Amino acid sequence: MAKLQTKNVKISGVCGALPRTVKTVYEVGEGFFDEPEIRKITLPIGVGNLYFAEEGQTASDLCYVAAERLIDGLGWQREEIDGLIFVSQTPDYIAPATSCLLQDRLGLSTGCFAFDMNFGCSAFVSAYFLAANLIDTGACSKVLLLIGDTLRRYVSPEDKGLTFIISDAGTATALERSTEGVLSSVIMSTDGSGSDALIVPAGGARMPMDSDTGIVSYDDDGNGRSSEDFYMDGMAVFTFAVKRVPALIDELAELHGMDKADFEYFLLHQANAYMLKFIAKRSRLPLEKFPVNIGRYGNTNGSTIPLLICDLASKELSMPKDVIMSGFGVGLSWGGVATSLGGLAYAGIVAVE
Amino acid sequence: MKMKRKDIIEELGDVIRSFFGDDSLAVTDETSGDDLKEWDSVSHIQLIFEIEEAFDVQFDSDDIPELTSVGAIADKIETLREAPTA
Repeated sequence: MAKLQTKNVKISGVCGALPRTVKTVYEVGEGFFDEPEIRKITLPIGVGNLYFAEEGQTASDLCYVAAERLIDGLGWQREEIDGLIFVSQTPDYIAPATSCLLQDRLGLSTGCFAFDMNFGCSAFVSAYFLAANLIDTGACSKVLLLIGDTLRRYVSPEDKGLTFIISDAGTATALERSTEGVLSSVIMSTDGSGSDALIVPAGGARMPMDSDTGIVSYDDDGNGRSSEDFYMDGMAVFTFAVKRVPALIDELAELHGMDKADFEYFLLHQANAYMLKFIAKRSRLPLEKFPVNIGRYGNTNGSTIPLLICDLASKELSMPKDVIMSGFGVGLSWGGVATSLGGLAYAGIVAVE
Repeated sequence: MKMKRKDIIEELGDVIRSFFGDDSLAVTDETSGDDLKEWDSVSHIQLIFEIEEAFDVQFDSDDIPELTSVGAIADKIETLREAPTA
């Protein structure tokens, strides 16, 4: 099992960046679904608003704004930042790595180790795992996790399983070496046998785009999409999450040396509200410990946990509290972090003009 | 606690009628997703949650995709309610 325990790492700050265009689910579904149907689909999953990147605006543009605000908010010196991890499924180019462009754009030193990771729903915990390892070993001392996606461009408006969920955002999280002795426990897992449950089939080397890949076809539920669109096997993803995440919570609590009931919050990837209910129930934990903000921002893929932290920072996490954070999805991959989180030096959400 | 098959089907009928908002819906052992247009993959998950709540059971997550008929759900509820609890 891939795991890490360290007392040398802390989250210092988090910033979210949202594109200017926000639409209600009714605006998103207009012309494809009638109002009663939209209400029926979206009420249980808890989604209200979805964010759309502007034309030409990339995930790295959103992450850049979040990072600028975070660096200023923390008062970090740019030459001190020696690690930058960009996690996205919508990078600027096939090559070079978008993290290299961000290193330059943010004015970071050439002594900064910058690299990309391709993760979605588990992006935050995956990047945390790697950054914490880099800091724990002394390889880096201040690391930026820049996580963002503009997946709306890959969502078919006729796919009711995705069009009312997926939303665009970018986030920046600051991790640094700490002498405060706060314990972090991390577990990461992978099951590639489920790789076809969340996939954009066409556009990569395996299935290059051609005249056929853009043709829309319809499934038994009436959802229309092409091979160039994002596809989700909702049932497979759902059963994966409700099976793996409660087990992960148990494993993390044990590794962390705490009873799971003693954690104050479970900050989970905001896949949909119903899934969180199922996970809370199967974990035998009160739903009140599972904050939900999918209604406000939608499912922003890897950005959901940082946005959740931003929302909770001023009240529930104004002082450090024991939390478990968990991301799960595309890959399939999943993982979690148990730590004490709160009292951040900076947390905020900015609208990108 | 053990329930009679007939009572399980009756209670499942109440849950399904309430969930789909159709009091006139006839629910039998044979009723399945094929009979109800609204019983699609999205609503299936929500319906299963409501059934779990109503019967105070938890289906194995691997079984959930297969529970696409009233009879299959009733079979699983019978098994779960007969199983000794920890």
